[in-house]
Amino acid sequence: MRKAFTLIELLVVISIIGLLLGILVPCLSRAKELAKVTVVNAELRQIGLALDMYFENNKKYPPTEADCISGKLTDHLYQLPRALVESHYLTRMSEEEAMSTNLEDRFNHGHTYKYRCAGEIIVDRNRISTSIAASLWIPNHFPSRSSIDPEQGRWYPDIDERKRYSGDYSSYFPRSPVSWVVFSLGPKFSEEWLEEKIGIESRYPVPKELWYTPKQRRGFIVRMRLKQEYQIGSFDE
Amino acid sequence: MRRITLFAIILISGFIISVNVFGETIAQVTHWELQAVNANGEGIYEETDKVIITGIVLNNPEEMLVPTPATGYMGGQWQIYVQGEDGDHAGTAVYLGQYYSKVGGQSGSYTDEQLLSELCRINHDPNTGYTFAAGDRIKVTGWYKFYKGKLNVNEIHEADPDFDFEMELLEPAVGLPRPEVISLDMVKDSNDGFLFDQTRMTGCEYYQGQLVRVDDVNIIDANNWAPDATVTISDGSGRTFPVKLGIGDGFTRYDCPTGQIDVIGIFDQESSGTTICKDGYRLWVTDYDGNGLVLTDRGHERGNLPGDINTDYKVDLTDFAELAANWLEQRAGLYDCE
Repeated sequence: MRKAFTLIELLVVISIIGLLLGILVPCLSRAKELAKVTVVNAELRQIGLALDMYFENNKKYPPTEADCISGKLTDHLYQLPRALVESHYLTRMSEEEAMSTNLEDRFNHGHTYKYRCAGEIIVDRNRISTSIAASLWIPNHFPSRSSIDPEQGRWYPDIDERKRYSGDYSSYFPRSPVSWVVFSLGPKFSEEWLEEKIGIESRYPVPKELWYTPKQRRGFIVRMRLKQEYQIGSFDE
Repeated sequence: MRRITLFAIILISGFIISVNVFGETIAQVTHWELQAVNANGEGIYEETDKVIITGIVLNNPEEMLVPTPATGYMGGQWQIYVQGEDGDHAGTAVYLGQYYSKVGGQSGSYTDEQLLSELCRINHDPNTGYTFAAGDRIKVTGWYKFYKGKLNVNEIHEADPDFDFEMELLEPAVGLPRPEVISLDMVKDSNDGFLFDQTRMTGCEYYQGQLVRVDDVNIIDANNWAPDATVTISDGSGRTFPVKLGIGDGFTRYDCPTGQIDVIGIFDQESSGTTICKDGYRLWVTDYDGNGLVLTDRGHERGNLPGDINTDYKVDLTDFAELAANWLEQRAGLYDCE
């Protein structure tokens, strides 16, 4: 009677285990990614609620934060507004922390989700600029149509509107089809990927071509408020 | 009469409102006023939208940052330091970059052609066409923005011409200011930490933006020697200080000086970022002439021999080799304004 496995048997078992792992690991990693995306969507929804409450109380949305000290997109550029924290809609980090709130982008550790709006902006030392307006690039006929072609969309506000800006954006701010957008960098984000898609200009993240899809497994996970009062995002797609 | 008075009041009120709404406020300020900081090291000047500053140019821009379009993350970059005079004990950096949109600029970035055109504009006096160089007395008018511990005059990261800064020659070639001699114990504490003084009367803030000289120090990490790298100097008492090397060709042409040397450089600050604005002081030496005793550039001297390109006091084939190696090379945009 044999007490041990033969080499062949062992090899067969190991290959079967390897084969199973080969099938399971990508599935598990995909499942893990989808789970993270679900959590991100839930947190973006929470931020959306905070933004709505802020608007109810202030009759405007908080300023975009684009101080160059915050660096590039993978750093703190466009991080969640401190105004939301100061108004107690989101939780504050300690004063020493560069992150404005503890709502950390699950795909960009050490950094909050991002926020952009067509309206006020902070470009220097936590002061709202009276010379520069935050702008969003929106495809024509969005959201029914979408494009990343620079000719198929426009900035809100545009160059002429920006030139007239003097600190009060209320006159043209409501014209933007998208009031604000909050977003995660999503899985496998890289500056090179973004540059390949739209060049060096910052025409992100409103166009759907830049949104995350489970099939592509790359792109921004977004949530935005449309002028018509309802919110849309990559969770719809 | 009443109607006319009323009309005049309406007209005057309208004018005042329009100036407030569409006008930009501007004032001539000293570097000292512009560089004032709070207890966190954050710049506090904000009285006007734009400022006018005057002073002496401390560096040639092409030896500090690479101005050639499409190089590096920010594309081509240009920067000079201007030091105050007559008791204005401070200095200010003037900066221009290409890819503002990558760091939140709302009016996009410069194309390569636009950048070349901008470089030509800012590198020359608009009245005479004179090319600015270290040692010139100039006037700068522009917007400003806080960056990692200091206020820079810049375009607040907007490519729109409304945010351009302007430079004007006041007097050419007046010469660099005499560097102020400092020792490391004036800028570092006994634990080798940067000395910060909110009043800017002592410590690193007092020297920021100015040309200084540190005597009798050693470079302790000579293996870092390269253009655009950072080396560390030590005075032997446990105090050290970073020295940012510029991109002048001396850092390629010559070996790192050894033994006890002096260093002459611009006292700069680039702190760690969003919350801490007093932890990143350094000296910036933009070029080196290979003299072996002082880490600085004494002005591209040629040893009084025409043709002595490598400044070894001998005209020979090695000068031809230098010429051949650099044949037709240029820093795009600074001098060729066709």
